Amino acid sequence: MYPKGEWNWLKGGLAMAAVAIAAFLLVKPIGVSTQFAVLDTMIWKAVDPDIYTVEEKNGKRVYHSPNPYINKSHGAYAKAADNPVNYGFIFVLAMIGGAFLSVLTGGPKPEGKDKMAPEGFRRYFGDRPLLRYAMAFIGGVLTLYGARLAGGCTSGHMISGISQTAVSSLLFAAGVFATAIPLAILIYRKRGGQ
Amino acid sequence: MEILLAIILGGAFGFVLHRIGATNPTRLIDMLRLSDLKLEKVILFSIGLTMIAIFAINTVVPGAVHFSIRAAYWGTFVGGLIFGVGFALAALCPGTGVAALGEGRLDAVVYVIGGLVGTLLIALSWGWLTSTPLFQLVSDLGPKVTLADGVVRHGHVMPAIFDSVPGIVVALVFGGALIALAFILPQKLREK
Repeated sequence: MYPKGEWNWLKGGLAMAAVAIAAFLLVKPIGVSTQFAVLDTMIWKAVDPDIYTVEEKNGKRVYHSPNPYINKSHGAYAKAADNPVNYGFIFVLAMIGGAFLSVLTGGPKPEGKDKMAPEGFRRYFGDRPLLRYAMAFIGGVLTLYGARLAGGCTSGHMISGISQTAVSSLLFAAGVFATAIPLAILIYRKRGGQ
Repeated sequence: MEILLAIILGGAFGFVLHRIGATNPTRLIDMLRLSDLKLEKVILFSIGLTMIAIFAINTVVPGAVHFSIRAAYWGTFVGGLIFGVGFALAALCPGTGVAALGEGRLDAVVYVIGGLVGTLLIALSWGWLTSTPLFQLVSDLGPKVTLADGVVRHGHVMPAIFDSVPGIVVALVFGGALIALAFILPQKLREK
């Protein structure tokens, strides 16, 4: 069923806590979804150079954007997009390398079909990679819209936020599971004839 | 130095997400439909342990923990509801979706492109969103409210709901309950 090479929950939980605690002590709490806004700003800048402007003011670089989202928090997304070698962005890029390293060193490895439509999807929908892609795309749109509205995702709100006992993060988690669990039970169910 | 830490910590986070199976949408489908509770156990245990550790360190060495609390407005809850719908559809979330690129999953590539579109949509609708009641605060105590006391950022103490007891006590009770739940939960609640 699951590919070989996974850690059990206790070992995995200890490792996850070790990474989270190290991040709290060394730099700042783990977060991912902000970097989607940073990458979006980079792409947007390539298409429309006016999406943000930089101004030198008393030796400081000040960022402005006509878009209220990119302009918020003193143009923080524009600033990060303008300096791609920053902590948050490199952290997220390094995650890809970390997962790749885990594959190389004996971690679980998805095979052929599983890279397009995973076994858990085929179990309920059959061999339909295009349907899987459609659901992954719409799911990507909705999760990032929701995360950016909420100010964080499963990483920033749940792992980092709940660990700090933040009320906002508990609210986010309550919202996520209120829809995700019933909907998953509804979507992924045995269908006759398959 | 900070960039080196980004590579080490980001790399370790991606490594762990992959090694526990969290980059595998099959695992996330089974997590959400409660037909395999492994990832629930990982999340509950790691959050509980992290909570107790950072509040303990914060008690012994004030200032050693880099806290960062996000504001609690109604959009946090509504955003969670929207996120949950997408989570069930994609069986990936931003962190696991990015890490899944590292094991060559094509559906994760599609997911990340969808995520960039979703982020563009929030940027385009932000002006309107900020005029709605979604940005009203949830608590009278302020935007960045916590349960446990003693969370300090840039010299400011965040308002806590349980401010009459030390933060470490709240962390031990809450974090301890999460850890206990991780041990008590069965392997599954439903059949696949």
